[in-house]
Amino acid sequence: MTNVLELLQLQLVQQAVLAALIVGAICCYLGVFVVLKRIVFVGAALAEVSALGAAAAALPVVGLLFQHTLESIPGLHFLEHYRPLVLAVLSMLLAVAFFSQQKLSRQLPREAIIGAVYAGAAGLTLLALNANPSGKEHAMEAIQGSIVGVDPLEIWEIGITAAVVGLVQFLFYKEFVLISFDPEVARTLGFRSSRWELGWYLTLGITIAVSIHVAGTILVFAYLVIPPVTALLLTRRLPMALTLSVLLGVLATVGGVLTALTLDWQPGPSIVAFCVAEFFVCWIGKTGVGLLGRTART
Amino acid sequence: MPALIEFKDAALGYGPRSMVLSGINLSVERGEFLGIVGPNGSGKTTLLRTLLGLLPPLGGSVRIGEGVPLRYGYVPQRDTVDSLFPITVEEIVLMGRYRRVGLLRRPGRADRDAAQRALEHVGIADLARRNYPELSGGQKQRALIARALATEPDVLVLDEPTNGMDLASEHALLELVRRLHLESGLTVILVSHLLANVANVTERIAIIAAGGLEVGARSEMLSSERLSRLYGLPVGVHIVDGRSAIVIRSGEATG
Repeated sequence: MTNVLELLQLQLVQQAVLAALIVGAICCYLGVFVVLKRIVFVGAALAEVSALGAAAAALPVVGLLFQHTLESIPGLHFLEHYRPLVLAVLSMLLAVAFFSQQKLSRQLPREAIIGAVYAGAAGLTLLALNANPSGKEHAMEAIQGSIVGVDPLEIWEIGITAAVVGLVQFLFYKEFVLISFDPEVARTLGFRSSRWELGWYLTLGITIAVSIHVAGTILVFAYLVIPPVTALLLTRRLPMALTLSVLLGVLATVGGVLTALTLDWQPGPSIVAFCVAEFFVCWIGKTGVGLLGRTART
Repeated sequence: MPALIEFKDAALGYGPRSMVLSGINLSVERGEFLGIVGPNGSGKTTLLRTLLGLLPPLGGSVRIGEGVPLRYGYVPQRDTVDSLFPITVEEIVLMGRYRRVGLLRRPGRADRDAAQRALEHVGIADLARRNYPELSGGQKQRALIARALATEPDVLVLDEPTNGMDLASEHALLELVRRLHLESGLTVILVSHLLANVANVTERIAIIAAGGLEVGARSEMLSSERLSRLYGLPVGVHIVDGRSAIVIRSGEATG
């Protein structure tokens, strides 16, 4: 225990906890909508596409193109430092634009399009990594994230992203709920559902692109799905589900990081394990309470 | 007085290569109760989407509203509304107020009062705090009608409102819609694939058949000859206890 407390004094560990808490809170909030909109695999696909952008950033030819583009636009040179992040966000934006193509959705099953994008992005990411063995480690870090190695600048990045996304979600809460629940009626009420939908996807995509840079694809995907599902298991009220999801994400983060420090595990998988444990505890607890209630009545 | 909605020789569909209906002439007067009937796949949804302003006409002219855009109270098919979403009946009804509330604002006292009145109108004020997924089919439909009423609509549009309902719930719902129309003079458009659904509640009936539309007064449309021709089947119309019963006559061929 003393050992853990000592470790928690370290700036490196404090930064890791802070980054994971921010990523966890915003992803768990958005995740409730992801689950309710039945687009869980859109989350996974966006994460994979963002990873592809980050992996491609390590390729020499992409690096040269990127540098050349920045040089031709005055004032953007500072973005060279953020190349993996910028390319992850750009790839994600392309994917969001692709997913929002209504015409394509009318021709092919939506889940098939998502699956194809996911598989394609995963394969191309591996190719991009293999094509650049010298930058493999660096690219892997950009994809998988490294919470323990997160630097203050990355905390600012994710903090600002979470603040902006959180503010947008707060300001347009009722519109986002309406288009998630009943987009057709939203249109008859005068809301341009496709634009609102695109706006919502952008907040999700940007959050994922920035988050995987810090926390990695697996942890981000877990945050987007497991705590929201657990929250929706416990309550049938949307505001309560959103609050519970964030709290469960925060709890899993703290528990996961402390366990990782104690047992010398990796923090990301440890947090995922805590998310899963929370789900099973809540599920078994809820089932048990239900059984007790029925037994008491009979 | 100009019609509230007017289609003149309109062609409807999803693109020049996907025309669904053509030569459509239809007018809806303020305060009338119109039923739109057609078999599955006949183009009801296309007509409805054009009427709601969600789909531009491919040809002819479609005029909606008398200078200012119409405010629709739209009740979609119950199956298209997410039945797992964790939301209360009151929250759903308040959605009907969102356009009036405007951006960056939350519904206020006046909106809650309007939602409460809408719930009272459809007889489910006591269910305001209940979760939508927990309601029966009939209660869900009433909640969706209450949301449409909360918009204070010029026209109430119902798409297949009795789908999946038992006989008693179906009857109660259609009577509710008829009462709403009679009590407040609300313009109502009811779309259904079941002729029997609209035959006893609407004043005019539009039947979609063979890529076109025939419209007329109820008495005019509910004749055996016309229905037999439109449906290509020997259809009989009988009056039972003052209500029209439509049956397919067995063993007869159409002429």
